[in-house]
Amino acid sequence: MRAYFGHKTGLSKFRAERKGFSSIVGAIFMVLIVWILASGYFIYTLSQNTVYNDAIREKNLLESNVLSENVQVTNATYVVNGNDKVNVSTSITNIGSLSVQFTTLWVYASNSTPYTGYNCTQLSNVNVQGGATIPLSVNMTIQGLRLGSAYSFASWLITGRGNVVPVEIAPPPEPEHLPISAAGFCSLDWFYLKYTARYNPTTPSDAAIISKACRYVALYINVTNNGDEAMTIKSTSLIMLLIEWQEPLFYIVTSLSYSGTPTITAYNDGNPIIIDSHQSRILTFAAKSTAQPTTWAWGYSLPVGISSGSTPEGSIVMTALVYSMESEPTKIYAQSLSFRALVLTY
Amino acid sequence: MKLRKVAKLFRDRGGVSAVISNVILVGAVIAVGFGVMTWTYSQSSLYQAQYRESVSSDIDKLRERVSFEYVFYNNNTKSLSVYLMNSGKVDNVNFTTVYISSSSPIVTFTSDQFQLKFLNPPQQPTPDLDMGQEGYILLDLSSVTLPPGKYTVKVETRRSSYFESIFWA
Repeated sequence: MRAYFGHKTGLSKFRAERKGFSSIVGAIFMVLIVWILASGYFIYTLSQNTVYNDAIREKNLLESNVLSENVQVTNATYVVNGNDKVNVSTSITNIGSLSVQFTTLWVYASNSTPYTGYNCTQLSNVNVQGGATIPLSVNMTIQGLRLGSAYSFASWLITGRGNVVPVEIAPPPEPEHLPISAAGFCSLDWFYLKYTARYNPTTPSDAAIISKACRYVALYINVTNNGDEAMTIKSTSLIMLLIEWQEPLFYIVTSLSYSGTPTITAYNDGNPIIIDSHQSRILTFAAKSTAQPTTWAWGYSLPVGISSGSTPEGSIVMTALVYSMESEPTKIYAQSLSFRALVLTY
Repeated sequence: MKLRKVAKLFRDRGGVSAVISNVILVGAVIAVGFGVMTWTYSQSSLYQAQYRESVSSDIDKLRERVSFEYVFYNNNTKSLSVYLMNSGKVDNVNFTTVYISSSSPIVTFTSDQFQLKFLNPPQQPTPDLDMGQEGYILLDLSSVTLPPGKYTVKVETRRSSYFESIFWA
């Protein structure tokens, strides 16, 4: 028998020895079961995690949009034009980059009798684009108002994103010029750190929050020459964003264009920007380096150092201004100014 | 010649029991295997359904957002009006509890003690706020004394999200 099987090898031997066949079938089933369980579990868990992460990204975007709303509602006038009736007129200026929809106007009235009354009215089609100003005039009913009596009014608007915007009686405050300076001839306007991007915003807008979805980003600062002689800006001037581990650099450019494929006109030390004594000038920063003066630092892809994740990242804005003064053109001044911070979000 | 061999094969009964037992054993293993596989698959589907429901619930909670438009305490009637808007990205925001507190809890209202009303009543009356809808809750605070000061009103939703605002008495 042994001799007989001794001549069998490979498949024929397997066919001859049927012992353990059921174990093999059982093992195949076990492997199938484990495979079905494991693949089902992992693939499904992965897909659900993706769905959850998408929801978190959406939530972050929503919160970011809520925080980005920046509206001034000013010049409010209240006219009691009948018993129980008041007309509210105001001016809405959207100083943010997102358009804002207003859903409700609330008005609260009181006087010394004492009287208090309030009411709200739903607004329709009150949408204000970024940078736009619109007038708003609404007739409302507030029970208890009497024609000819004096009242104190307060009102506020509710935006579609859920923000409450107080309505101010006073005209909008003039932006205070807040110079930031250190040792050196230059100072910067604290209010002027702006940015543009390929599609939105294409006109300089406040750079407190920049979306990582932006492409072809340029930064702008307002530099004042506090010296008594003209100042010549050098091509090594730059803005650095201090982010964890990396610091993307934006070098000075002469100009840029967003028509068609965005282009940079390189800064030319042979035809420099000159800021006269006690004058200010907007400088534009967008180039990757002095060696690549026409390459975008933040072009189609994010600069190295800015993560593509949805978590907002804070960044300190450091400005390095390199210049010479008129009386000593060969003497180079390199002045560093940190004046603002910004948030990069998705 | 061939017929003789076939006849011999039928006469030779050696090893038949081993074949039958093998067939029964393999059949049993296959049957049990299919059974276990089906059970495992059904359990896996059940788990997936539970997990999907759990993730969906978490996502709905993430998308829930309520803004306070106005909170007015009427000193004469001792009532509190809480005006709310669903500024989130999910429908059916249902309020289960309202807490009034200052430095310590003062009074709690459960859903059977207040009713959500709408600024623009929907055509189909619902007990919850859909996206963009505005509503209000009237609370009777005559049972408690609120000395002049700052208070907190907090609402809890069915999805266990909390939103709060302040008001002055």
